[in-house]
Amino acid sequence: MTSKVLDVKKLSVAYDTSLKTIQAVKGISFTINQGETLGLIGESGSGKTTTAMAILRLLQKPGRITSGEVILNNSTDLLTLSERELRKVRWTELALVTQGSMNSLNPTMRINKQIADGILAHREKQNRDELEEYIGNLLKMVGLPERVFSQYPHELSGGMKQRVCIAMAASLNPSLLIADEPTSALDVITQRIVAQTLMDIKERLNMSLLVIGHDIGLMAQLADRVAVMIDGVIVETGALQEVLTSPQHLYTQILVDAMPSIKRKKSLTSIDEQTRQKISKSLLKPFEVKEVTQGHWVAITQ
Amino acid sequence: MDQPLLEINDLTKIFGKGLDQQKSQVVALQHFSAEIAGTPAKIVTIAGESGSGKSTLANSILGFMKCTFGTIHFKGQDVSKFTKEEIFRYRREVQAVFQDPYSVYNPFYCVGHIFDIAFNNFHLASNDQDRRDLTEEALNLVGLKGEEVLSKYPHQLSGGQLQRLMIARAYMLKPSLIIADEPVSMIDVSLRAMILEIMVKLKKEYGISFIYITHDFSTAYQISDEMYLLYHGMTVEKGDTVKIINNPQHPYTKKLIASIPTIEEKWEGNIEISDTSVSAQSELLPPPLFTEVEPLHWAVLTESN
Repeated sequence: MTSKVLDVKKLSVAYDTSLKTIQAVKGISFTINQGETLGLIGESGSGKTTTAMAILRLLQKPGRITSGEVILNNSTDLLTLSERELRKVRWTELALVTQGSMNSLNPTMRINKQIADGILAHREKQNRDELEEYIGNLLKMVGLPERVFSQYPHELSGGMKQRVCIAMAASLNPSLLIADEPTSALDVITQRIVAQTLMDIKERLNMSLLVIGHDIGLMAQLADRVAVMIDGVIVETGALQEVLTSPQHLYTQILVDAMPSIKRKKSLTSIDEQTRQKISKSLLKPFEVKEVTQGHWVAITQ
Repeated sequence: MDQPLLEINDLTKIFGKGLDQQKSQVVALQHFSAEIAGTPAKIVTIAGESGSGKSTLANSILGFMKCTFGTIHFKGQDVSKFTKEEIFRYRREVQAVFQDPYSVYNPFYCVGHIFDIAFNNFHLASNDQDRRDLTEEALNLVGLKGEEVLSKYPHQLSGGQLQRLMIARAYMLKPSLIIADEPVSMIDVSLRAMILEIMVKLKKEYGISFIYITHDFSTAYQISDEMYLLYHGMTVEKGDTVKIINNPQHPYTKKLIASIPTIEEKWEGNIEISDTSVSAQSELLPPPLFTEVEPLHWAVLTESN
């Protein structure tokens, strides 16, 4: 049996506002196996980023985790760790790349120094030459030329900066990399290069990957398994091909049909307000989750 | 043959050095020529990645910026030589829908305000009943109801609804051309199709042509008739949308189309990572030489072909 890198059990997140409490994530459960890429698909407001932030315990106030467990490597429940213990896990076991990662690089620091910073914060003092060689190798791994080593962020293009961030995230060989819309702000060709880099580095370091996004086309390239999220609920999970070719939940069907293609002309469908509201309403009631075929789970909602 | 609705000839925009002679110039758009037929109406895609000059082109057509050289003719008349009245008419006949539906509305007013402005500017209706009827007709076309949306504030509506309101407003002015600059790139996938369908409907049933500016080839493939592909401000391929996407000729087009993620098949192998930082085009090149690859499909062929 393959081991689980991440096991999320009944995770709920709420945002408190002065008027009411909003449940952004409503008791979702999913697992990621060793070496697997899980794609979490959702549109704006579905709770996908909130989920990622809750797993990393990076939720900003007024957001708070109300219940659930997030078990890493079959042993630690991330939600029970103290800040201090959490520090040890972050970046060494769990790493994050977001859409805006490339903008978080320090503009006054050379690339090698920035990567070294992250490494030194978690590891003991290292021999400088060894460290430099290690960083050089990291950059090579993400396909960046040697000159990047001593360049500043403004000298790099968006795609290159994003690859620097991937190198940083991979620098301590984490077991799970969470990529939240890693390519959304990039052009098509650059998107492919960054996606390629992600897949490549995942293979090499034998990491697991949680990719979050709204672009099913991109998910189809990256993920082994997908989970479809709407209104803080996962309505369908299963192997990528299976979900794309025989989507079971109404919302998944609409999403797949709405995806334009360059391979064939089709009449695109879209979700009208009534249907959208009907789906939202149906998710408010308790529902059962049924296994249609092996590993393909669907929420049975009316 | 009928006179084209919009005729663009050798349009070039160079963002200059201004007083700073050290700064290099940026050629945002060069030698762009196109003809947009009015009858029958067409959806013409201008495609390209960021920095390719798409928005420079849109802004020039809309008259937001002056071009370095080149001409735009609207129904046979030079846009730059318009009189005040003609500009006014042009402003009514050529409408725009922009990328970010959240930023075009004034947050202090109900969304109905944009309809009021249109009525006041163009004197569309003589009395309140006419106003209501015209608004309602436009809103029904985009699948909205007046009483449900008009008295709402922008933050109470979704991006899709706001964008449909923009289209309704544009339609109400009975334009002959709508410039849609990335109209769906900020809209969720499940709502995109609705906006695209409205565009197709306006084209088919009401004879409104569109210039559809986008970086998304899949939506262009689904709705547009013709396409111009820009690369660093230069047109590298033009013609029938389906023909270009099914049989791309220019190396850049090929690479671009191979990079579009689809749900039908996985990417094949890896594409080569070119080691260049983005550098803007700073030289004005000679006009592109097009070769007719097949009927209704032209491309700039390079030596590597």
